[in-house]
Amino acid sequence: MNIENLNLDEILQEIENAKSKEEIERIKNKYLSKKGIFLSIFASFASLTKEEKVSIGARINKMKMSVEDKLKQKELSQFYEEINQRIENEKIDISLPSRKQKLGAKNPFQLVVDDITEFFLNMGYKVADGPEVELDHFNFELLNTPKDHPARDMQDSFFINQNTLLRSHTSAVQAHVMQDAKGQVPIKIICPGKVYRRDNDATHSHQFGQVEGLVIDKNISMGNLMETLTLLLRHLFGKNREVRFRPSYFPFTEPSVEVDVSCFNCNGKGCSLCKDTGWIEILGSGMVHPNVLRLNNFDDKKYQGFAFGIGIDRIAMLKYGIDDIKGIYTNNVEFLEQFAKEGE
Amino acid sequence: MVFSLNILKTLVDLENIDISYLKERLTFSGFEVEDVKFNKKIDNLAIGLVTECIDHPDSDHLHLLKVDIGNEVLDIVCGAKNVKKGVKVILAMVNCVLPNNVVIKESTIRGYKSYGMCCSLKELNIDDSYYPDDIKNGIFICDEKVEIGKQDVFKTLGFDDVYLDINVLANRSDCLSYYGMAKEIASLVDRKLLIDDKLYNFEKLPLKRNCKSATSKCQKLDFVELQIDENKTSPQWLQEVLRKCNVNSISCLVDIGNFVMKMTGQPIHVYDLDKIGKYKNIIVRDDVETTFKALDKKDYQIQKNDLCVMFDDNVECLGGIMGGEHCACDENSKHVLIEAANFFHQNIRLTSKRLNLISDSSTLFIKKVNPYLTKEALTLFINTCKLVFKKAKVVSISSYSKLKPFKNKIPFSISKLNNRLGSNYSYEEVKKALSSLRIKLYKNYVIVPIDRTDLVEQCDIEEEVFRFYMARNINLTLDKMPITVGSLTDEQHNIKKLHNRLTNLGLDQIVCFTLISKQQHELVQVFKQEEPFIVSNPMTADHEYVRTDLLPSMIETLNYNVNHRHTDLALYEISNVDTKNGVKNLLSVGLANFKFNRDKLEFHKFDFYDMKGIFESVMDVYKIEPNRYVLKPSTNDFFHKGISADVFINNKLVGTFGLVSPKITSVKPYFLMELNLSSLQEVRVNQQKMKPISSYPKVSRDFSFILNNNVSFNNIIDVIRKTCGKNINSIKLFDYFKMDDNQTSIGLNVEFVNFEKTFTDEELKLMSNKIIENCERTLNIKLKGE
Repeated sequence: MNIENLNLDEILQEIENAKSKEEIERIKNKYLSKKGIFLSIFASFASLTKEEKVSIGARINKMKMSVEDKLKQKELSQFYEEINQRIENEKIDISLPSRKQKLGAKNPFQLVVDDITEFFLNMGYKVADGPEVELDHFNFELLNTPKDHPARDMQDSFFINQNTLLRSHTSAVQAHVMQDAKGQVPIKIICPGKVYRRDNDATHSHQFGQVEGLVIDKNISMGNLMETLTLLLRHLFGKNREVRFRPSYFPFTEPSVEVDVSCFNCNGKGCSLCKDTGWIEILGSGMVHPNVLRLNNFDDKKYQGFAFGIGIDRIAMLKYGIDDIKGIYTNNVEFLEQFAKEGE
Repeated sequence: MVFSLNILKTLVDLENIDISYLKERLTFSGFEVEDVKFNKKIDNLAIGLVTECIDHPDSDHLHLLKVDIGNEVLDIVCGAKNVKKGVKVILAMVNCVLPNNVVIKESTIRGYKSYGMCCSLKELNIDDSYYPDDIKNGIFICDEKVEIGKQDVFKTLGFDDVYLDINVLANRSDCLSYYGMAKEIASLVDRKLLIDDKLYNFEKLPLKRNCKSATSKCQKLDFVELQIDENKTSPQWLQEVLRKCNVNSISCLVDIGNFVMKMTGQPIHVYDLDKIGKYKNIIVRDDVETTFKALDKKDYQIQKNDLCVMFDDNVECLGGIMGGEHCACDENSKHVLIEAANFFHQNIRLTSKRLNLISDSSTLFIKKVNPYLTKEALTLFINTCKLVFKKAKVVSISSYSKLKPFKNKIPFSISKLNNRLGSNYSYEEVKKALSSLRIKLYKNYVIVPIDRTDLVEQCDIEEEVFRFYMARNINLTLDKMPITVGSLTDEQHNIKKLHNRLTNLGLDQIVCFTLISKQQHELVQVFKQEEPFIVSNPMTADHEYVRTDLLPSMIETLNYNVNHRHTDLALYEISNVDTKNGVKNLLSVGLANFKFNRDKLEFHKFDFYDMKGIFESVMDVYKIEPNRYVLKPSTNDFFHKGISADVFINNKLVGTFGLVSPKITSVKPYFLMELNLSSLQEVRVNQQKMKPISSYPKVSRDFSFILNNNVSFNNIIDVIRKTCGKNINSIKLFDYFKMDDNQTSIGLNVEFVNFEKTFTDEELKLMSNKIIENCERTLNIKLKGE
C-alpha cells in the first residue's frame, strides 16, 4: 500500500457513513489492526531513505490519529444512539399503581382516645385503669350514690348479680384511684374506657366509651376545671371554638356543669347538627363532692378537686361526621380504612 | 315538667316578662328550658252567641244558625252535634286563615249561605286531651260569662298561654311543683312572689291522736277531717288550671287534691269516711301481705315493704301510690279525710315498679317529697275548699311525726367559696345572691328556707352562688394546679407501641362489644379455665355473656365483612376482658384470604407464616427473645392440629395462633391468633446492651439436606448450633420444598463468625463435616446428592 493512495477525507467519510457497531469494527480493522493499512504502510518503510521515513512517518501518524479520533467519536455517538434507543424501549407507565405497605387503620374510637390521652399526658396527667365488671360499691356507693339514691333511676345498668354490674360510667375508676391513693395528693389522672347501659338507638349503644378525668389537690378550683375543659375542647374542635358552662346535677360533683361547645359545623349560626341552637352539648363535669372525698378517705377540709366525663363515641361521631354509633362497633373495613391516615 | 306561664303568673309577678330572657336565665341557672310551646295566634276570630239554631231541611246533621257577634248577626251553617241555641262559640269569620291553611270564605251549603265557621279546638290546633268528650267531638263551647264580639279570642279564653318544658334536675324535686318553680323564678329574675304562705290555724282544731306509723319508711302523717255540702263538678277556673297541668277533672274534692299536689308538690289523698265507717286507728305498715283493690278497680298483691295505710285492720290505701276502691271519693262524698303524708322514695319506687302501677303521686314520691310541708299543702286544700264549696267545715286534725327538726343553719365561709370556685366574689355579691334565693347570710353560717332540703353543707351554698351568677367572676386559669409529670406505665406504653406496630403492618383495628351470646362464648376459648360473668338482665340473648376471649368477636367481624363483600382482611383487636379470675389484656388477630398490593396485580394468600410473622412482631414490641418462648402444635380443638401453635412462656399458655380446624364447619378457614398481653407484660426483659462485632471476615457455607417429616427445621438448627457453638453467626433458609408425602428438601446457608482470627480452610472444612456428620447421626437425615 502506498501512502499516496490514501485519501484522509475519504477515510473519514467512510467512518462517518458507518451504520452499525459492526461496520465501525470492520473499518477499525481495515485501518488500525495489525494487518491494517497503516501498519502495512509502516512495514513498507524499509526501502525508504531516512528523510523520507521521517516525513512520510509523520504524515501517516497524523493521518492515523485523525482516523483514530474520528472512530472514537463515531463509536461514542453510536453508543449514545443505542443507549437512547434502549432507554426509549425501556420506558414504563409511571401512572400504574405503586407497591407499598398498606397502612392499617385505627378505629375512630381509638383515634379519639389517643388524641385525648396525648393532650392530658402533655398536661402532666397519668392514665388510670379499672375493671369493667365492677362492684356496685365502686360504681355507685363510693360516688355518693347510695342504694336508695333517686339518681339510681337515671341509669339503667347491666347487673351480674345484686352487687356486681358492668360499670355504667368510668367515674367508677375515680373511686379506685382515690382508694389506692390513701389520702395522698396530688391526683391527676384520666381514664379512657368502655361503659355499659341498657340503651339502644342511633346515638346510643348499650356499650360506649368515656374518658374520665380526676384532679385532687389543695387548691383546685372551678376556674381550673373550666380552663382545662376549654383548652381540651379547643384542642379537639379548633382553637376558635367558644365554650359555655351550664349548671347541672350529678351525685358525685357539686357544683356540677354541663359543657357546650359552639357548633363547628355552622359556627354557631344554627344547623341540623346543633339542632339550631348553635351549641353542642359535649360533657359533664364539676367539683368533686365533699361526700365523695370523705367516702374515699380524703380530708375534705384540706383537699378539693374536679372531675369530668367525656363521651368518646360522641366526640368521634361529631369530629368525623359518623351518623350512627353502630358504625364504630360493626367494624366494616370500608368504614375503618377511611381513617387510616388519622392514626399516624 | 311542663309549666304554664299563666299559672306561674298567679304565683309570681311576671308582668311583661321577656320569655327569651326567662328561658336564658333558667337554663344558665341549672333549669334547662328544653322547649317553649304556645298556640299560634289566629286573626279574624270572634266569640258569638247562637241566637237561633234550626235543623237544615235538606240534611240529617247540619244546623242553620244565627250567630250574634255584637255588631252584626251572621248566618252560619254548622254540622256540630253539640251546637244549640244560647251557647257561645268561637267563630272563624270570612278571611280567617286556620292553622291547616284553610281560608274561611263566604259559601253556600245545600242552598243556604254561610258567613263563617264555628270552630272545634282541633281546628284551632289547640290540645283538647283534657276536655270532655262533647268538646273533643264537637265545637268548643265558651264559658257563658265571656263577652261576645270580635276580639283577641285566644287571650280572652286563656289559649294565649305559654308552656315552658323545664328539665328539673334530680336534686331539685322542690321545683316539681308550681310553688317551688315560682319561688325559683322569683329569685332568678328578681320578681315579687305572690304566694300567700300564711298557715291555717291548725291549733284551734280538735286534735285526734289516732294515727301513727309502724315503719321508719313513713315518718310524717297529717289527716284533716272535713265535712262538705256537695261534691259536685269543679268550677271552670279549677278545671282550667288542671287542664293546663294535664289532669282530668273528676269531682271537686279529687280536683282540689290534684290542684294542691300540682301547686305544692305534696300528694294528697281523700278518703270517704262514710264508706269506711267506724274505726279506731290509722296505722301505716310495711309488713302486710294481702290483696288490694285499687281505685283503678284492679287487684294488686301487697307484700312486705309495700307501704299500706290501714284503718284498723283494713288496707285502704297503697301509701303514696293509689287509694283503695272501697273508700274512694265520689259525687256523694260529704264526710272525708284528707291525707298529706310522706312515704320513703325507695319503697314507692320498688312497689310502683313491681306492680307496674304509676300515678302522679308515686312519680313525685319517687323523686323525694319534702316531708316538712304537709301542713302547707293542707292549708291550701282548706283554703281552696272555702272557694269551691258553699259549706266546708274542718272537723279535726290528726298528726304523727318522727321527723328530726329541719336543720336550717349551715356553717359557711366566703373565702372557702372563692377558693373552691376560683372566684373573687365580695361579701356584698354573695349576700345579694343568697338573699335573692331566700338564704340569710351571717358571719360564719347561713340560714336556709325549709323548702330547700337539698341545702345541707358549704358546697351546696357554693353551688347556689355559682349558678346565680353563672360563670361571671370566675377566672379561667391553670394557676394552683399541681405540676406533675405526665407518663404512661410500661404496660400502657407497650400497648400504644403495639397499636402502632400492627397498623404499620397493615392491620385494621376493630372495637367490639364486650357482651356476646352464649353460642359465641362456647364456640372458641383459648384460655379454657376462664369462667364468664353472665348478665342477669340482658337486653337480648345476643348480648348476655361477658366475653372471656376476643376471638368470638373477631370471627363475627370477619364474617360480617366477608358477607359484605370485603373478603380480604387483616384485623386486630386489643381489649381488656373481665372474667371471674380477674382482668387481663388480650390481643386478637384475624387474617382472611389474600393480601393484595398494587391494586390486584400482586397478591399473596395468607398462610400460617404470615400469622407467625405478626406474632413475632408482637414479641418484638414486648422485647421477648425467641429463646424465651416455645411453640408447640396446638391442642385446642378449634384449631387445625397441623397448622397451629400454642405459645408457652415458662410452661404457661400465653396464646394460640393458626388455621381454624376444618372440623369447625361453622367458621371459614381464617387464620386467627389470641395472645394474653398481660402475660407478655410480666416477662422480665433485660436492658438492651451492645453486642461486639467481629473484625474478622464472616464466611458462609451452604448445606442441602433431605429429611423425613418427623424432623423440623428447628431440630436441624439446634444440632448445628450445638455443633459449632459461638462460631455460628446466623443460619438462613434458602430453599425448601416437599419432594413427596414423606420427604422434604431443605437448603441452609450457615454463616460462621470468629472474634479472634480469620478461619482457615481446614477449620471451615472440619466444621462443615462435623455439621453434616452430627445431622446425619442424630436426626437421621441425608446430605443431598449423597
